[in-house]
Amino acid sequence: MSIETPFERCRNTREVHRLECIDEREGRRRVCEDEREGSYEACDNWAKKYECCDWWPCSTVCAILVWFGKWICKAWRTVTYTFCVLFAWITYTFCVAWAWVKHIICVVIAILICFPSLFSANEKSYDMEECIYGWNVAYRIEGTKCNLEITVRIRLNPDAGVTNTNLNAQSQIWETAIESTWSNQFQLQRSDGECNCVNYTVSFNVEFVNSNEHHVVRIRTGSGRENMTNWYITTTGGTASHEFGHMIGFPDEYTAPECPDRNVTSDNSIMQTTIGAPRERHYEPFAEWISNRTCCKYEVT
Amino acid sequence: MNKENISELNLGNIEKYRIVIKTGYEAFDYGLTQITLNGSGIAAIENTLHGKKSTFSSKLSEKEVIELFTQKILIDIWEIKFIKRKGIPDESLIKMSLFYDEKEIKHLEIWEGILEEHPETGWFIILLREILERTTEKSERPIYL
Repeated sequence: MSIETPFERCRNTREVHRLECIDEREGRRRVCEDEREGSYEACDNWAKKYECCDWWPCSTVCAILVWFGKWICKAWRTVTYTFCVLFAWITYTFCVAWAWVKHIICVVIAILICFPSLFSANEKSYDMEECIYGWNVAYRIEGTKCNLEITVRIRLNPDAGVTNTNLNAQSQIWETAIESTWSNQFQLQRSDGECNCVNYTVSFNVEFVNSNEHHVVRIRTGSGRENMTNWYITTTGGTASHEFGHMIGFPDEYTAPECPDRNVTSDNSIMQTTIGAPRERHYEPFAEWISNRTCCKYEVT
Repeated sequence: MNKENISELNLGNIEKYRIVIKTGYEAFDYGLTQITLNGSGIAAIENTLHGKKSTFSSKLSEKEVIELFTQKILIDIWEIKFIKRKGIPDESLIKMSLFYDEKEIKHLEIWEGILEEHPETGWFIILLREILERTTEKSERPIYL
C-alpha cells in the first residue's frame, strides 16, 4: 500500500463513480430488455386472444387487421425499447460527465488545499538557526507501505591517524546506535482524512557514503568534546545519536547561559542528554510532512 | 588596557599574568571546564558537571610558560581579526580572558574550530589540550576542552 496523494484520491474516486455509472446503465438496459421481451409476448397474446367472426370475408379482414395490429404493437414496443435504451445511455453520459465535473472540482480543491504539498520534496535541505548556532539540516524522507523512512547520508572524513579497521568497526556501532535510538519510538496515526494508511511507522536509516552526502563528519583520533561535524574515533553511539538529531533539524535542549530563550527540557530527551531518547516532538516534523503529502492529518502517538 | 598599555608592562614579570579559559556547559556531556594558566607556572583545572565539581592542578614546564606568556598570547592573539560565523551545534565556545595583577585586561569569545584552524592560534589549542590531558589524567570522568 503506497501513499495516496490527493490527486490520486480524486482519480480513484472518479474511477469508482465511472464504474457506478456503468452499473447503473447496465441495470437500466436489463430493465429495457425485460420490458421488451414481456411486451412482445403481450402483443402476441393480444393477437391470439382476439376473436374474429366466423364468416370468411369477415374473418380474413379481421385476421389481416389483427396481424397488422400485432406488428404495430411490436413496432411501438420496439420504439419504446429504443427510447428506453437511449435514455439509459443519456443518463450514463450525464452520470460520467458529472463524475468528471466532480473530479475537476476535487482536483481544484486538492490544488488549493494541498498547495504546499506540491513542494514537499523527498530531499530536505535547509538552514537552521538556534541561539548562537547555525547549521544545515539535510536528509531524505520517503513514505512506502505505511512506513516513513528518514535517510541521512554521512561522509566520514578520517584524520591521518584513524585506521580503516577502527573506522569500520566504529561506524557500525554508530549506525546501529543511531538507527535503534531513533526508529519506531512512536507512530504517526491518521486523525483526519481517508488515506490508505491508518498508521505510519517511522524508521531512520544512516548510510555512510563516499559521495552525494547530506553531511560530512571529521573523525579524529583519541577523544574529545564532539560536535555535529567533529567526532572522535572513541565517540559513543549515544553522542552520535545526539549529533544525528542536529542533522535532521533538532536543536539542543540543555541549559546554556548564552541561550536564555532555549527550549530547555527535563524529560531525558536525546537532545538534552546523550543517554536520552527521542520524544514525541522529535517526530512531529515527519507527521507534518506526511500530512502535507497525503492531505490527511497524521499525529504522533 | 590597550595594546600600548600591555606593551608598557614588563613582560619579564610574568607571574602577574593569568590566562583563564572556559568551555562547555555544566548541564551537558563533559560539563563546564575552566583552565587557569598562571604566569607562576601552575595550571589549575576545574570541571563542573550537573553540580559536581572536580579540581586538578599541575605544574607547567618552563617551555610551556615561555610559549604561553610571550607576546603571541599576551598581545597578538587579541588583535587577530577572526572570521565570524555561527557555531556548529555542540561546538565549544572558548571564552578566554587575560588577567594582570587580578584585573581582567582582555576578553575573547571564539568558536573552537576557528581558533584551531587559524594559522596563528592552532598551536595554542594543541597546547591547551596537552595541558588538560596531563593535568586531568586521574579524573574519574573525561574532561575535554
